[in-house]
Amino acid sequence: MRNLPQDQVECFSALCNLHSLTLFDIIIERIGGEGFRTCFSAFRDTLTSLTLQTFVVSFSAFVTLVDYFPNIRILQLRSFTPEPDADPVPNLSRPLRGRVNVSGVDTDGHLNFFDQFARLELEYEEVVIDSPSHLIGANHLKHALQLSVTTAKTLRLAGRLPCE
Amino acid sequence: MISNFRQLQVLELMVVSPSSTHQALLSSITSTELQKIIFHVSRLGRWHDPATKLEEWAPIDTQLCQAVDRLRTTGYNRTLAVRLERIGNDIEGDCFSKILPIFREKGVVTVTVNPGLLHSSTRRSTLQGAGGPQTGKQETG
Repeated sequence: MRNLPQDQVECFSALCNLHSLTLFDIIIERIGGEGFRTCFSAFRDTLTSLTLQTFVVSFSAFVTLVDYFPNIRILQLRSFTPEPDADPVPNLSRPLRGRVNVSGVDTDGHLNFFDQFARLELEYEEVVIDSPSHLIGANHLKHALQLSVTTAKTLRLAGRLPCE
Repeated sequence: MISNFRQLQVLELMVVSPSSTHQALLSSITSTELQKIIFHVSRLGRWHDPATKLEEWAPIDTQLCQAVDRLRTTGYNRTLAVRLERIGNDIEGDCFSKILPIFREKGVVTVTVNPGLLHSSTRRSTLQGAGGPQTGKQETG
């Protein structure tokens, strides 16, 4: 995305009142901090819903991305591939609030991702763990259930659960 | 499993057949803010034998009662509501009116029908809605 032609960058800059953004099939590292400003600055303050679908990300890049948008209330992570981190994990500038929806998690990399995610300052009111196509693994469920335990008012386990 | 969710008000679970994980989740509830538990019951379960169904749900019945009793000792004074949402019309409805017989003495059980939840994409969007839809008729148990 940082190599986008100028006319496409201008298209992004026209989206000045965007509320919901889905990034599909993307490697977030390739956007980079400068790419965030280039592509997303027009709707940085208006965006309330961010969906990342079929994406590849290190945890530090993930934190940088979600922290870039100060008003996100809905964060949906679908079928993502965690990558090893080369950079230190930045601090969040504020707690993450609203609803987090995680689906399609089934690798060992996700376990570490959940552990790191849970260590952030999370104040989600709603946590949704989904698995549309197969059983949620027992270990993945255990790690995912660390998210926002002190603030969540609604917990939805919207996939088939394993037997213990 | 969810003992640290101390502010929990609503718990929603997908159920094909009640499992030991459902029991473990219910047995670990500690939130005295709990108001509602919703079971989205999939038609993919083996609903051809009502007696088997009642037997399968008996441990859930027990866990719900124990959860309420346990919470009562920590100051819980709410009436816990349990909603059974039938996914699909081909589930034998009579089963639902008989499920959770012991818990019905401690809490409120309602049954809703959601005939539209036949495909995963629809299911996903519906489960993401607040508390799920009320698209079908509602029966009180």
